Amino acid sequence: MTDLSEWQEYPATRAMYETMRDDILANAYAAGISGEKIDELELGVEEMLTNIISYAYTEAGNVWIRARREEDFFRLDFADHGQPFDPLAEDRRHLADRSVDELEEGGLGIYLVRENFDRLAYTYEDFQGAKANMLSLWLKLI
Amino acid sequence: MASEVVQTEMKLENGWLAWRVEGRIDISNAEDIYLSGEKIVAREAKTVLDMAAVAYISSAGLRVLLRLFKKAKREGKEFTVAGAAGMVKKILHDSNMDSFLQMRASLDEL
Repeated sequence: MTDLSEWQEYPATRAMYETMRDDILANAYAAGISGEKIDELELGVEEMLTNIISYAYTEAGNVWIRARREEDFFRLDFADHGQPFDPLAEDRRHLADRSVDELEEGGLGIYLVRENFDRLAYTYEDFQGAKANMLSLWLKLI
Repeated sequence: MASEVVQTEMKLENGWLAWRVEGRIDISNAEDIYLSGEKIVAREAKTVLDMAAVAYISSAGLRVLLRLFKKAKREGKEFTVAGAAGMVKKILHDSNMDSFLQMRASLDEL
């Protein structure tokens, strides 16, 4: 298992997605997360990594991941040096208020992340020598 | 590596085509599953995705369902889902997809 208690750097590529996902889930299992909580965690992992892989960079770039227990929560952190983008600033309307076309355009993933995670936070700040998108997700362990 | 799924088709007596998917629907295989569903919807008047053996679905999978629903609607056809359970049923409900798709508890409800 790759220990993610400290930041780990990965190429932000589609080919690396399963490796990153599996590393995060292995750390989650080690922290005591199981069952439906793992599925909830994976929803957030897939959404955030897919966004970074697909949209953060116009050329090659990296993503940093940290995953560790923080008191009663499992905390997941993502950082990238791509263009500034706050995924939490998207449409906050309930999905029931959106049309089928609006749903297809986007917002489903982040909505599910908001539903399943207990706390989310985004900043744009200095990290590893450059400005970075910093996203954190907290999932209650119990 | 793409998540493995098993897909089977069965024509029901009431004319619906039951398309059963077993496994996970996530970013690794969503497009392939869409392409399979696209062919079925193009061919059949009424398609039901049997989700009884779908263990996990992400937003990528939900977008597949949305795209197939819209394709069926454009072509004057029907597309729905049945049998979703556990986490999958919860996701479909949380995302409001169950109202668009008129989700059934089982194939018997068609």
